[in-house]
Amino acid sequence: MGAIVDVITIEAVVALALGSAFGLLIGAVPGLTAMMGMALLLPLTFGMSSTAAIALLVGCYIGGIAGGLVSSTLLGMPGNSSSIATTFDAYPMAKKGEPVKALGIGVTASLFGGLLGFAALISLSPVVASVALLLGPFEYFSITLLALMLVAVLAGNNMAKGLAAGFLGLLAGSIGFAPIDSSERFTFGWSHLWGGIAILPLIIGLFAISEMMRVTMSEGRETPKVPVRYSGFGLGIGIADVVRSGWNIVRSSLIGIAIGVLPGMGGTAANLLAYARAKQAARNPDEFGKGAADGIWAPESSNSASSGGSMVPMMTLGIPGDGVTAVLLGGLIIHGIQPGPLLFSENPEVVNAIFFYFLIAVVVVFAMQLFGMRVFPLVLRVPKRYLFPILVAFMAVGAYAASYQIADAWLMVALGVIGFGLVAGGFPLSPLLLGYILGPIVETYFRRALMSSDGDYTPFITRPASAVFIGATVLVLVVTFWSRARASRTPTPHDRSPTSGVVP
Amino acid sequence: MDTSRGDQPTPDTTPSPPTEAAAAPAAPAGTRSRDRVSGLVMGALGAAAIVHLAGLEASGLTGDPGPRMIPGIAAVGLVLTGLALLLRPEPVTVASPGAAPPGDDNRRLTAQLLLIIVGYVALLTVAGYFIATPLFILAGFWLLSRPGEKILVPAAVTAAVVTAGVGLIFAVGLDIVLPEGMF
Repeated sequence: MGAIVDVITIEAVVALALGSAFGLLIGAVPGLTAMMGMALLLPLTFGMSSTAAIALLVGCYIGGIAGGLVSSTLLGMPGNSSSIATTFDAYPMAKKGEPVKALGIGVTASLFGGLLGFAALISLSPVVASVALLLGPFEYFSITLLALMLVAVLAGNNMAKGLAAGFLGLLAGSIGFAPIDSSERFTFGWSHLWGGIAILPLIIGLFAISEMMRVTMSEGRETPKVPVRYSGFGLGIGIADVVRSGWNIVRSSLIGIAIGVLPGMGGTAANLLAYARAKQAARNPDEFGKGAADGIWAPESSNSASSGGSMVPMMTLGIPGDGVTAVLLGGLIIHGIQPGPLLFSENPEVVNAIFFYFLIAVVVVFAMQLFGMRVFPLVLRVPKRYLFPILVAFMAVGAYAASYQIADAWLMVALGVIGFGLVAGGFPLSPLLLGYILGPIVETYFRRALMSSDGDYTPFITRPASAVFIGATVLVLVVTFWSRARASRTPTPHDRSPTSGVVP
Repeated sequence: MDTSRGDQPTPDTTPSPPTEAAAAPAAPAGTRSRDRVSGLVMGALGAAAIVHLAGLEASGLTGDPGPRMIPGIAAVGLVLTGLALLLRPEPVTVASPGAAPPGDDNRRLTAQLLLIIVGYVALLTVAGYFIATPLFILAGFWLLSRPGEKILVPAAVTAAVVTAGVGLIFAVGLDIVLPEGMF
């Protein structure tokens, strides 16, 4: 109990509330993601204690995932990729005149999913961390390589593009002085790059500037219209509704946790898979897609639960499970916190703070959604002429403030253009960020491992744990390549449609 | 500055809701040629990285593969994935239902947005925060307003409030010295 009291400060509680509210708002606007929200908040954490920074970022993370519900329900547009499946039934239910019920189910499902995800986080993390302490550089290299490959091949639809983004991230992460021997790489004589590309301009540029450009390209000056208006109070559901869907909530949350723990999967896969499973198990699957309550319970509990799951590898191994946790990891690194197994023994107060504020964020986000259900939709009406210039001013000053160098603001813009180009070309950005963050880690473990074995490579496959991870990496690559090659040979209904126009 | 935007027609961009089938993003039109260009760029980047790394010296520590190994593997991987995109570009399938390709207006708008962002950072460098920010907010407000909208007063108010607000957050709240410019 004393450990918990140590991490509670007024500053951190206020930061958590602000982060949660900001995450909800950002998550509610289609096109603006939790990743972008956290990127925007990173500069604000400079003047904060590490506990308050953790609270702010965790609040934004939980709020950002939950916020996607609003536009999914009222606009039929997923606020973020974690709420794609939510639109399938929440929007039809809202159109049928029950928007409060649709939002109420989503909000309650997020609470249950978040709590179950939290339970998984606190029960799995210490176990994984204690096992991780037994691993050496060979195993760490292998497991980091596996995580990187999983994210690279599973992000997006095209394996080559995911891998290319991952390799690009590895190269970006190797700019500056190399680990171990401090050789200068890719600096081209520019002293600003000696320390590598700073993480803040990279995150803001890739995920915020490029996203703003992408939204402008697809929507122009227009702001989506919010067609549904509603009044009344309460959640629109009762305890009986929760009990009736109890097993669906638990099953979907377990799917979310399991998928969240695996690097590369995250909330997007979790909510789609939970929806598919709920439909498969439903007594009346024909009602799905027409406003079925179980079609909202499943994806919303699953995507919230996946947040807890994806925090497990990030906390215990220092390996983020997806792009959002990669940004969260970046935020922790900025504050001198290096997640990994040693964090649990050397900085238990940081672990306590993350656990505690994760739980509080789940509850606070629920309370904010409950009372703000009628207010948050208003953010969907904020015109771009207000939103974008304010965000850019904030980001440019934030990027500069990290190092007091205007070069970082330039770097932010350049990386924004690169990110926009990559997204336009169909390249996923998460592998790039993960490659950038994990690159120096992979290299350090790789070189340390070989130095400890006098240059002998065989321990990578003779040490059991390392062999398992290397084997899993090869298996992932081969299976993904094989399944995608097979899928590309099988014509889909789209390919056969007269409008598809498959170009030779 | 004009108080209103020109009289260009505004396209109706009200989005249509996604369906389950539309959840999996489909390749946009023109993907094949775009993939080939992407493949060329990635391959060229990888090749340039290999050339750069070849000039580095080994570390000399026993067993250490040196600073070339990991970035070298990434560079070779980039060349190979670039080749894969060049030789086997993604087949073009139908675009996501409801997702119309961006029109010329939106392309121009995006380019203009990027231009004023670049201008803002340039002005931050030269003139500092308190001159650059209000000018940028005014420009952004004007650019992103719909045709025919009266914008002078709201733009001026927004510029003043945002400049003061963001400045206060960073300078007072976070004790950060704002960009002061060259003069």
